[in-house]
Formats: sequence, C-alpha cells, structure tokens
Amino acid sequence: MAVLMDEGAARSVDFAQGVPPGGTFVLNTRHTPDECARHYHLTGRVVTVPGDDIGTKYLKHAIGNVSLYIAAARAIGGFGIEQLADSFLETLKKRRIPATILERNRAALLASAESIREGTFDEAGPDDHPLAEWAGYGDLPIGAQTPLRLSQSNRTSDYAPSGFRLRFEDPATACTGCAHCITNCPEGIIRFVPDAERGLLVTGVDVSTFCKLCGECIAVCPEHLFKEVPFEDRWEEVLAS
Amino acid sequence: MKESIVPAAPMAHHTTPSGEIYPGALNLEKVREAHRVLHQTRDTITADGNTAAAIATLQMWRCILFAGFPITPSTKYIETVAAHISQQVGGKKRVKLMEAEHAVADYLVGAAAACRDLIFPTATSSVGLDHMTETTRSLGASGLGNVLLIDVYRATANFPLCIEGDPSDTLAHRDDGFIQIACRGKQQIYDTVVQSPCLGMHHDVMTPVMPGYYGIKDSHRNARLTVEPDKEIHAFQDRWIKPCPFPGLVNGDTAFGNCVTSRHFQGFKVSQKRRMDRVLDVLPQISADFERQFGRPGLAFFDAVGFGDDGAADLAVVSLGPDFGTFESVREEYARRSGLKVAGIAMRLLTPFPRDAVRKRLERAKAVLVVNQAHHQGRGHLTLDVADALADLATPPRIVSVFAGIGGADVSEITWEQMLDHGRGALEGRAMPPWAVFHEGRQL
Amino acid sequence: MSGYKEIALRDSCFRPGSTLCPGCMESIALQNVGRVSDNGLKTIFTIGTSCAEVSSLAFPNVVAWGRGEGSPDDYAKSFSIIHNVFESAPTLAEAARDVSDMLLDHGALDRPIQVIGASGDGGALSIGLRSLLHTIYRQSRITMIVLVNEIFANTGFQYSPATTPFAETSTTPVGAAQSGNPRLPLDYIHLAIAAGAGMVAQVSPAHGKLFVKTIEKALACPTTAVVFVPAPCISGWKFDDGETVHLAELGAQCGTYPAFIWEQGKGGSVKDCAMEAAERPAVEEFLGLQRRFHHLVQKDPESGKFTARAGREADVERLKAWTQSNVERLYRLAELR
Repeated sequence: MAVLMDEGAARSVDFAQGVPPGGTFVLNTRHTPDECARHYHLTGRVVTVPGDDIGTKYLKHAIGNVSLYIAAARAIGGFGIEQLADSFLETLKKRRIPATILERNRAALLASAESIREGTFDEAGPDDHPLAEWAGYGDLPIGAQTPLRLSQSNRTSDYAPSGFRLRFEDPATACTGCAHCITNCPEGIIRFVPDAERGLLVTGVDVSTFCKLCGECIAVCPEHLFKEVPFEDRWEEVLAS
Repeated sequence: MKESIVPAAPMAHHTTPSGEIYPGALNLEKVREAHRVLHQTRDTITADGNTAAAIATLQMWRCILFAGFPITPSTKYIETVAAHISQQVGGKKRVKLMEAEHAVADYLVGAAAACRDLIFPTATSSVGLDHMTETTRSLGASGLGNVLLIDVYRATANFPLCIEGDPSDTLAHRDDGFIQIACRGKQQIYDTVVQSPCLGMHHDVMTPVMPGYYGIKDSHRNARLTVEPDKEIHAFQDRWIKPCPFPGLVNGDTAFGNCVTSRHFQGFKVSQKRRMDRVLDVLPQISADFERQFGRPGLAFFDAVGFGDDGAADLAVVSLGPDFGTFESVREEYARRSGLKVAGIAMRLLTPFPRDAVRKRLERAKAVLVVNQAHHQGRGHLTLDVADALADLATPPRIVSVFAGIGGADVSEITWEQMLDHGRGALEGRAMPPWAVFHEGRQL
Repeated sequence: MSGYKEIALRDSCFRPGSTLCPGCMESIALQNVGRVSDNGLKTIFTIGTSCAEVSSLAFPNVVAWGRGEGSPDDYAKSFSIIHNVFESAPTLAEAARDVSDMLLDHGALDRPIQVIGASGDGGALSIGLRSLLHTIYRQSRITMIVLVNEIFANTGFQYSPATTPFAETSTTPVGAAQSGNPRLPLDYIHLAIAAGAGMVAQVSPAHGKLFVKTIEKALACPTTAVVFVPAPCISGWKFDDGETVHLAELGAQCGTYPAFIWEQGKGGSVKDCAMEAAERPAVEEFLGLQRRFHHLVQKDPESGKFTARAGREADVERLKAWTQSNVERLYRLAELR
C-alpha cells in the first residue's frame, strides 16, 4: 500500500515505484480515483479522500492527515469508523488537546469516512514506475568530499502545501524598498532591481522552484504585497474529461 | 594584520570529483624556502624516543604548525618542538597549544583540510588518544593523509591509572581508519616518522598514519640515533609526496564532511578499506627507496629473526616493541639449550595487518607463541590476527597465546624463558589453555 | 562600510535548495551572512553538526552552498566549507585561520582569507562550550555564528543550556511533576566577553540592518567576533507559519533575547529593548504564540491577550522575573570595556 500525503511530493517522487501488482494507493487529493489513476499511471486499487478540504472545513488548517488515516484504515479494511475515531481521539487526549478541538477532530474523522472514493484501475504501462537499478557504487569521492552547488534540482517548492502558492502583486508600485522581505526570505528568492528612489524595488519571487511557502514575506511586508493564493496544478486528465 | 579588499582577479581552476581546485592559489615553494635547517650533515646524537620523533618532524619542510597537548609519556615530543621553535628568531614555524586532545584532533582536521600539501603532526597517548576518538574515526575515512598522529603507547583507561607503556591504546583504535606502524628503538622511530607521510599521502592511499612506540621503554630511554641532513629528508619525501589532486579549503571550492545516507555509507567504508589495503603494496616500495637512499632498512611488515634460509622453526614468537629485544638476546642460548629451532617476528605494520606476509613467514613453524602486551577480552589482539593469518593453511601451526608486559610490566629474560617453555607444550602435544599470563618468571 | 541595500545586491554563498524547514531562521541568517561575505575575500566556512549542516551538506547533492552558478573564475568568489564533528566548528575555523595566515606570512598565499564558523547552541554552548571559549581565549581571528534555537533541534528538539525557563522540550517535558525546563539558561554572552572576545553580539535578521552591519563588523574584527543569532524554530517551538521573524523580534523586545552588541575597548548597548518591563511587550504575548509554552498561558477570550493559566501563575511570574534580570544583566554587560 502506498500512501500519498501531499500531492506536492508526487511532483518529485514516483510514489508508485516498487508497489507490486495488486497494490493499493491511498491519496489525499480532490481528484477522483479515475483521474488519479490516469494522471499517475496507476494499476491497482485507488482510494482517495479530499483531506485538505476536510481539514480546512473542520480543523481550520489544510491538513489532510486526519482524513488519510481514515482512508488508509478503509483501504486495509476491518475497522469500524467509531472504533477508529475513538482510538484517534484517545491519542489526542494524551497530548492534552482541549475538548473543543477534540470535537472538531471527531467531526473531521466522520466526514472523512463519508468522503472516500475508490476504484480499481489498470493504467500503468510497461515503462511506468521502473525500479531504479543499482549499478554499484562507482567511483565515490574520497571521504564524501564533494563539489558545491550540485543540486539545483532540489525543487524545494515541493515542500509547500499543495493547493496554494505565493503571489507577489504590486500594481501601484507601493513597494517602499524597505528590503524586509529580501532580508528575511529563508531561500533568498525575492527578485528585485536597484531603484533610484527606493534603493531596491521588489519585482517578484521565484515561486515555481524554491518557494516553500513559509509565509515570512507575507508577514513582514509593511505594504502587504505578498499573499497566499489557491493554486491548482491543472491536469490534462481533468481538463480532457 | 589588516584585511584589504583585493581586486578580483581570474584564476585558473579545474574540476575534480571532490570539488574545484585552484592550483595557482598557493605557491608552496615559499614554504620550502623558509625552512631552517636543523642538520646540515648526517650526525649521530643521543636521544630518547620522543626527541627522535620530534626532530624528524622538525626537519620536514612541510611541517610548519605543531598542535599539541601534554600527556605522559608523549609530552616531551611537543616540549622538544617548542624548545626548537623558541630558539628560531624570525622563524616561521609555530606551536599551537590546545586545551584538550580532542581540540588537537579537530585542529589537525581543519589544518590538514586547509592545506593538503603540508603535514600536520602531533603526539599523544592512552586516554589522550581516546579523547580524540570521535575525530580520529572521522579522519580515518576523510582522505586527509597529511595528518601524522604519533601514539606513544601507554596503557589505556584511567581506572586504575597507569602511565606506563603498552600498546592497548593503539590496539583500541584499530578500526579508526589510521595506518598503524609500531617502532622499536630510536632509529626505527625516527625513520618511521620520516617515511610515514610518504605512505599516508600517496595518491592510492590517502589515509592518515599513526606511528607508535612504547611509552617509557622507548620514549624515555636514550640511545644513539643517526639523524640525516634536512636536504636528504626533503629529497626523499619530495620523491613520494606529490601535490594533492583534490582541493583543500584554501585552494578549493568544495565541501568536506558531508552527511550520507545508508545508501552510500557502505560504499565509502568499502572504498576506505580498499585504500587501506593498498598500503600492503605501497609500503614495500617506500621502504626499498629509503634503504637505497639511506643505507639502512626502511619500513617493514615485521622484523624477523632466527628463520634461516628454509624458513622453518620449531617455535616462532610473535610480539612487538622493545621487549622483543630481550627475546632476541636470549634466543640463541635458549635454542642451543633446548635443541629447538627458535625464531620470532616483531610486528611493525599493525594496521592493515599483513596477513599474507605473516602467513608466509610462519607457515613452516611447528608452533607459534604469540605474546600479547595489551589487555584483551579474549586470547589477545595479536593472537586473533595471527590465527586469522594462519587459518587457511592445510596444517596450520599450533598457536599458544600468552600475555606479558601489560601496563609496561618488565618482560625479563626469565619471563621470556618461562613463556618459551610454556610454548613448548604445544610441540609436545599437550592441551594448552586459551591464554596464560607471565610476569617476573612466573605464570600467574 | 557598505550600505545595507547594497549588500542585498551581492551573491550569497548560501542559496535556495536546502531541506531546512520552511521559515527556518538558520536559513534566513545564512542567506544574509552569505551575502555580506561576498566582499572580495575568499571565505572558508566551518560548520558543526546541526540542522543547517545535515540539511545542506548531503551526499551526493550538496545543496544551498556555493556562490554563483558554477565554480567562479574569480578566486575570491570561490568558497569552501567543512564539517567534522559536533563541537568542532570553532576549532576548525581557528585551524583554517592559522594555516591561511601562515601561508600568507610565508608568501605562499597572496591574499587574506576570511573564516566564518557556525554552530547551533548545542554545538557551541553545550558539547562545544570548551571549543568555543578556548578559540575565543586564543583570540583567533574568526567570526563565530551561534544559531540559538534553544534546543538540539536536529535530533528532535531536546533541552539545551540555552533553553528558556519552563519551555517544553522533548527531554524537559511538561508533566504532573514538572513544568518544562527547570533550569535557567547559561549566560553565554557574559562567558564570551569574559573569555576575551573582540566583539560579542546577539541579533537576528528580524533587526535586518543591525544584523547585516553586525556581520560586517564581525568580519572586520581583529580577534574573535561571536554573533549569537536568536533562531525561533518552527518545528521545535511549534508556532504558526510565517511567525519566525515576528517571534525573533518579539522575543528580543520582550527581553528573552534582547538585541545586543559589544566591542572590546568600546563597550556596547542593548537595542530595541527597554530596561523597564512596562515599556516592553508583555512576555505572555511572546509565550502565547508558541506551543512549547502552552502549559503556561492561554488566550483570554475577552481581552484577546495571553494570561497565565490557572495554577501556573507562579511559574509565569518567575519567568518574567528572569526576563527582567536578563535585560538588566545585558545593560550591565554593555558597560564592560
């Protein structure tokens, strides 16, 4: 069984690799099992639940782990929803989570049970999800000493919660050049140009490769020029159907 | 020293698997030119073991920075270095007194990584070496063959405390990844220190070296020592030590000490092990060249005595250190009295253990008496190594294992004779205990 | 001295791509240090085992470190970094400094090099206190950056000698018999001054201009410059997204880690943190935003302010008293020459 907690991860990792025939995929996604099977080329049982939306509705955070727990249990089979909810809430009680939040969790758990969809599909082709062949260590550099900046392929924007993206908009050129965002971006991806008046004028952010959506720029900009916007990766499989 | 922002200037660089190197960043000829000669000609002096090691490192032009921390019985190494440097008005060599041995080890890593073509030596013992362990184990894999860590043997552990010499400290660090070479006598100490960096910095090896000698029995006793002229040592070392093909911190654009996952860790340890194995090929080459230049034997896997042309022996001793000299002094008389052919080897190369050479040397012995001089939970470090070396023989010699000289205890002539008598039990077909301990002529 | 904004135009040697948590203060600090150190001098960086190290110096893909897109033709823009063992960053830096200065002195190297060391509070104040203080004592001409997130974060957020009193950590949990960390934190600023540092500062990029200028001064310090960087840790202190810089500022202003800068011979000053408690933000406001203090305060629904929970009033008072003494002590330290 392969469990996909966040679709962002699926952009850099083939989560279906190594799942044998007859395997089960449990995904936290708004998409249908059919759309997922066609998009990710899955062969086997596909179980989906829109966990982030349920999280937003009941828990005020777009976290899909509560729903995914229910979906995974459903995929395994043999557990009643009441049993699952009770056991989950017991664990939360041990962490002194207040009663109101426990209630919200219960509601989320129950709603998850109602929102699961599933199907069985055969969409993986013979060349899909190849297991990486290990060809030996090769010539390893002595002592693991390496060149620098080897990885420009580490797309840390895949860390950002899926369904959202950072956007910078400054139609009125309200940026004062205070440089708080530049100073406080952990990834150093704020784009700016020298400006006669301000010193520095922010022009944008490199969101597609390295933005982890940490939110610091949103918090520090005195002119509120950054915001988090819903963002959906448009799948051909959805547009086609 | 005021830092000025110097104008940018392009510098040639090329790619290696370990990062980018800027060879033009450093001109080490300037370091060689600044070296102040200690000995213009070959001289004979009187010295103890620590002095012998110190002089050897002071004579190397690549040794300009000596980090140290005192611990008995290695302290006189850094004291000798400090005394010399304190006399060199306007000289450029430096002593760096650190707060603890762990700091010395970390300092050696930083220095050796900063400039991989200079050699950074220190001397320590026992719990001082133990205090370095976390770093010595890291050094072993690092490829920093330009670290020279002299271990002056002293019984390790402080409970009870013993400041006298046995090789338990070096043997406790067997798998740190250092090449370990034992010495006996001032000449071997001096010669081994001169040859060690040639081995460690060899491009096929790139592994740091830990030469060692007995605390007190060798470190503190004086004997005649032939010291070579500085320029001869330089000529010898310069034939073997070539510019490091990989970047250092100063001349590189590189990362050291990276974090690896299980997927790769094993690969690094295998590659480290293979470089260690190359020592068995490279050491004899360096040794032959040393003998050609200086007219006396160089590094060896072991010193051997009494085997004759056919290599056969009734009883062959395996041990290490200066107490082997006592064995040498009683051997002929004992052989004559007992009518047995008695031979022996004193190990020089401890790590990697030269098992093939040991097997070849001992395969025609009827019994092998291994004299362990360090505490061990079983039959003895050396015993296990020798047993492994002989294991593949169709009819291996019987191995008799004894302990003597632990904590620097005297291994007297009478003790040797008792141990040889004990070893004869194997020749007479008697059942032998797994191990026995001898002291002052008695079995304990 | 360069202008603060001019420095933003430089090339940082710490770039995106690390696997540090989103919003990690270590990342923010290193971005800025990376830019300031692009000043015409080659940099050697040493780093102790820490989140920053394991999240960047990974094999085979070293991420984040390296100026420019490829190894530069300009030697001054090239860059080296070394990691050895947990506590070794100050000692490694000292060795790199000594070797490069000796090579310069010999004429084997034709330009000076700057050396920066970085460790967490674990690597510099706990297991590394020996190495930090002795490197300072020997007046090694390095800049030592101590990223203080008050925990051993990389190993799962355990207690450190810098942990604020009553904070919950994985080894000082809140339970029926214990209210989080029972200890007062080590006075590391005083120790650094007493050991003989040329400059000691405590500042984070929340005070952006001050941080950048402090790093510049540190790089020019003729002996050891130590910069403690309060580093709120989103995963260890457990706060909401986008709160890192806010907490760095609030903690400095309310007195748990005031901004402070001191130079030997000149004395120093406390910045943006009043001596009088009434003129500082309430400590409770700082505590309330972090789940590691969840046992101490709660939000009052009417006033919207954080107040002590029932039964925890004495703990909160003791924490506030410590905060006050912390501020007063820094004002006194500022007067040392």
